Amino acid sequence: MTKILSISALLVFLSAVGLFAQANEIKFEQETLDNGLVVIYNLDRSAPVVSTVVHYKVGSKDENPEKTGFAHFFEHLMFESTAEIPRSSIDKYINQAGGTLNAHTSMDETVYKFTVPANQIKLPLWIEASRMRKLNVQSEGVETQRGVVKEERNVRVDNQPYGDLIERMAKKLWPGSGYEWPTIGYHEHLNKATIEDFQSFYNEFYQPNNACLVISGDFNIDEAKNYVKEYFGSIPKGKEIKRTTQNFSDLKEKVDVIVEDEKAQLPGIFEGFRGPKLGEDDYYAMSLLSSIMASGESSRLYQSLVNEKQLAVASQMIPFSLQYSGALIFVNIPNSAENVEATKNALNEELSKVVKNGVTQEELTKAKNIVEASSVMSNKNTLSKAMSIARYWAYYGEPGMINTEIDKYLEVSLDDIKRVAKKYLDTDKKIILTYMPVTAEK
Amino acid sequence: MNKMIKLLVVAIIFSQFAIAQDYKLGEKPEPLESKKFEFPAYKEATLDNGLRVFVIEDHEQPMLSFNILMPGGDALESKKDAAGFAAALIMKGTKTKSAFDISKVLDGLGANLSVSNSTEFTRVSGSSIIKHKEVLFDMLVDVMTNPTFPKEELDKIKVQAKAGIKSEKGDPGSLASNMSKKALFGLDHPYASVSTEETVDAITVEDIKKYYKDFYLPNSSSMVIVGDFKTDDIIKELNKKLATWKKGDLVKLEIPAPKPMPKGIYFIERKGSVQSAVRYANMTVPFNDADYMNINVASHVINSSFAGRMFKIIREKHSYTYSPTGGHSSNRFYNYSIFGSDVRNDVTDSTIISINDEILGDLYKNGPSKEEMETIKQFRIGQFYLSFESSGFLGSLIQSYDFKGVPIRMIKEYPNQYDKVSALDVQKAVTKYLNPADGYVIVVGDPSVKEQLEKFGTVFTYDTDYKPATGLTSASIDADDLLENYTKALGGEDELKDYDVIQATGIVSMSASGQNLPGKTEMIYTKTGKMYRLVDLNVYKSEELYNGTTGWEISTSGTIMKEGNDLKSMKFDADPFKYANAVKHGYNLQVKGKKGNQVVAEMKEGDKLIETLYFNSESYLLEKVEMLQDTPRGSLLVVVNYSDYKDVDGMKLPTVSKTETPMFNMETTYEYKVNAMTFPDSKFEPAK
Repeated sequence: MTKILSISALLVFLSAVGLFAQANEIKFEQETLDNGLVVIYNLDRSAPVVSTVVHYKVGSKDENPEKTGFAHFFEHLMFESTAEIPRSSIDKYINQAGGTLNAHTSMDETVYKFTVPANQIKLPLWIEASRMRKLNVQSEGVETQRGVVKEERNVRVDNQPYGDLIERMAKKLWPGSGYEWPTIGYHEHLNKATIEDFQSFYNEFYQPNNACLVISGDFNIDEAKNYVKEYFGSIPKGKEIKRTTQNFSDLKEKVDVIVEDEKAQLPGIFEGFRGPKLGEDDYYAMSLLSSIMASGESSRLYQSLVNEKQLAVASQMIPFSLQYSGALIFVNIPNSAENVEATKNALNEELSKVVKNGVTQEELTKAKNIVEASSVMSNKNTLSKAMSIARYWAYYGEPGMINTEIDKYLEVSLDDIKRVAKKYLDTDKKIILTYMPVTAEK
Repeated sequence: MNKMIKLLVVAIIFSQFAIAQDYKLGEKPEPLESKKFEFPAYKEATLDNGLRVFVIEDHEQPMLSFNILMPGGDALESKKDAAGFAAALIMKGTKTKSAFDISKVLDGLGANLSVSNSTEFTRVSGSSIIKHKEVLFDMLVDVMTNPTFPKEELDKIKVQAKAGIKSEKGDPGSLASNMSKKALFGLDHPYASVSTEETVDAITVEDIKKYYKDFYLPNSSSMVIVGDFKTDDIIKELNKKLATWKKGDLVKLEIPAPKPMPKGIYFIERKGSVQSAVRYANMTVPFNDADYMNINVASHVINSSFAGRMFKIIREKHSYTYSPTGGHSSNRFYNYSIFGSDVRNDVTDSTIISINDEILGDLYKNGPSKEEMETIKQFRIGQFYLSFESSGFLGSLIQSYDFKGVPIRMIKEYPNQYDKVSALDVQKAVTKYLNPADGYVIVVGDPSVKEQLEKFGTVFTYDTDYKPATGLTSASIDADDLLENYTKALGGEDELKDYDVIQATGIVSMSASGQNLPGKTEMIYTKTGKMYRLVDLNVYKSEELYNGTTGWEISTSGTIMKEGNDLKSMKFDADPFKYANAVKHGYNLQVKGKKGNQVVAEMKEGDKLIETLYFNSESYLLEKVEMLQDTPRGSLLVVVNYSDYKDVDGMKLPTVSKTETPMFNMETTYEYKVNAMTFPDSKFEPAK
């Protein structure tokens, strides 16, 4: 016992003395062009590298429910051709410059990323400016990417164990909203999409006043401003986007579905609750609660389900917060089909416990330490800094949150944790998806 | 102009401006003057316990991280899974701390300390905010010097390991990669062996302790540490902190030679797959071989992110795939190239054709284009420089070069060496090391995909346990009855003894690489056990002679006297009813089961499989024989089909045989004569 006491004492000591050494501050400069494009410059001279991020505020939630998958499909099209750039050249230009490129799409955002040697700073800016309003939306590119996107869906969804999990979960968690369908879209919509559909999607969302450009790395800030002005300055401002209001009625009932999964070898139990949206006060308390429940081997779920009861190989709690809503998803992989019910019971037990008793000061301190360490360790390279800055701009309108958000976590109290546990987890209105392996012999 | 018209004109002009998006961008911009690359500073030191330490300062954020590399791994463990379980269990208890205590301290600081095992080494990784470094070092030392390897924790890990094994079977990528390595190295070679329920069950605490004693040694290991500290201070601190981790006797690094499996296509049946995982696997060279870099560049030309041919052709030209995968390994001792892609079921064969023709075939014939070489070089060399943004990159390179016995100064030479590789070097590397005929194609997919593969050669089918998928049902007959029925079908025991000489003459048609070679064959068997066999394809002639005790092969390349196993198999071949008499020849037969209307039996010598025999389940005549033959190109599967049995003097003999190999096919039509002639002894010996 003395051992455990001494560790607890150490943790209390650390938190009491207020040793939360901040990460080194990330400095940046922000400007807004006449056309509404927000540009943020972050100098980091630790290596001769520049990363650029263009963050468009468009995700699958902004799609027409009859035409799903457009936001993501567009991410692919943006690597095709523009007025200045022939087909299959963007990757070639960047690779020849010794750089890398990528992009991603989620329910809320579409983000384009380049990292290049510092002396190539103009190249990604020129490409981004060209494809912002001068993309060729034509049939050859659309047809190629249609095939690629369908294969992407095959890899990510149709050929993976538990592959349609998010799709099924989202449909039940957020019915009637833009979060209801999968970002990758449905095959039938991908098949039907026409050039005109793509053009109107492009004209609506790919506008300077719907985007933020972040440049991070080793460059001269005045020169960079000139390049930005030269390339982006004369792009006309787009029309104001009329976004659909997202409505979220409360979940009305418990959903409990068994899914037979030919690709799964072990059962998977996925329990989804509604959770806080990005940036609201509950979000920080809930993130810390998730860490207490599931981060590291000393976490509650690991200790109970994996270590003591030996029911599961993994027990995770994933806070899944979006711009307008959120979810808490508990992922449990029982170590055999016999242990499915026992795993569900053990999870419920842990949830009841935390709803009833909250967490200890020691656990809360530990969770805050984890957030602190990860905020120090994650702000290391130019690309991840650029992406974070863009995200703080998109969801909070305040890029400076990259330095100050840690305070929001540190302010969370034991009562806050207990309150959010009760508010979000003390309900039987949840979605339970139980994936059961189908044996080949069947 | 009235006011309305004016407004209309303004509106039209305005709307045109609003629609026109034609902002001027000009040509693709030129790069600015390039900044000189400065190789980051590092310092090397050896601690008193023999641990070599590489230190890199990085003051960007107040943190530190380290990696300790301990040579060993799967390749050197004396019992399967000992290295993996040692890594998993070492963090599960020390003399003064339980598993929970350890995780609680680390989690409580947001610090990380983990131990992982791989093919050639075990790695200990740690990181924390700089202010917690002492706690992290204390924990490292405690774990490395006082582990207790508790049995009850081992039992828990075993349950999880077994579940992990099960879950890996659901992942087509893992199945394909594991099967690729098994084909290259042999099923149970340490570079290819996969944990199973049995290997997990068999591991004991003693096995783990032995591995720990042999390989967790500072004097065989290296440590890279990066962070916000002063180099000299951290070396002093480590020397003090790690003093209790003591030197030990080093184990010699010896790895068994690979035993590659027969060449061909390896297919793993995974029911319900909507995509096939297609992989090409070839063995290459050790890291310090002169050809290693050439193969690396070739592998990048084939599959290097957006710039490689796999992306350009399989994804962007044909839309068969989302993401090509794989590349050239960078192990110390044995390396391989495994690359491929997950493609939709109906284009599995088209993908193989495309990789064979447009990627490998074209590189073999024409080499890479000038532009391709330039792009790949600029990309890869650029990447190399970019990666230095993370000081961890330099750390891992230093450690990796050090482990592989390559001087660390060569890291600086990398861009230069990469740049020196020519298009011809790449073409040669593809020809010599990445030729599909010398390697394997592995496919994991739905059973329905199998028929698309058959046109490419021999298909070996496996299940998700990497066991041959036999598709056999119970045969309800034992080996004795099977042989008795077969003997009866051939005419009965008495008839098969009732001859002095059997003579067969045949017409041969051989096809290889699209060409047909006509020829003839002749075989003579005597009751006294002598044999003469001729195959004459005009361009190639071979005679086999056996005089009852000694055998020879005479061909265009000279006369060879047969010895050992070759002689034994010649004696067996000299019996025209050799399979009916297999037991007398010292082989044993085991019935494996029934496949369609054939009974499948294995003929073995002791435990060693010699041939697999397929008998018709109604007539009991032999229809097919499969055997593996060693050739200079590795082991090949040879299949011989027998048909059109005719009655000759009371004996049933096949008049058509079809031989299939990955290199050629041969069809022969026979005519038999019994006791029609006699032959002098000189017919069965080489001319003096």
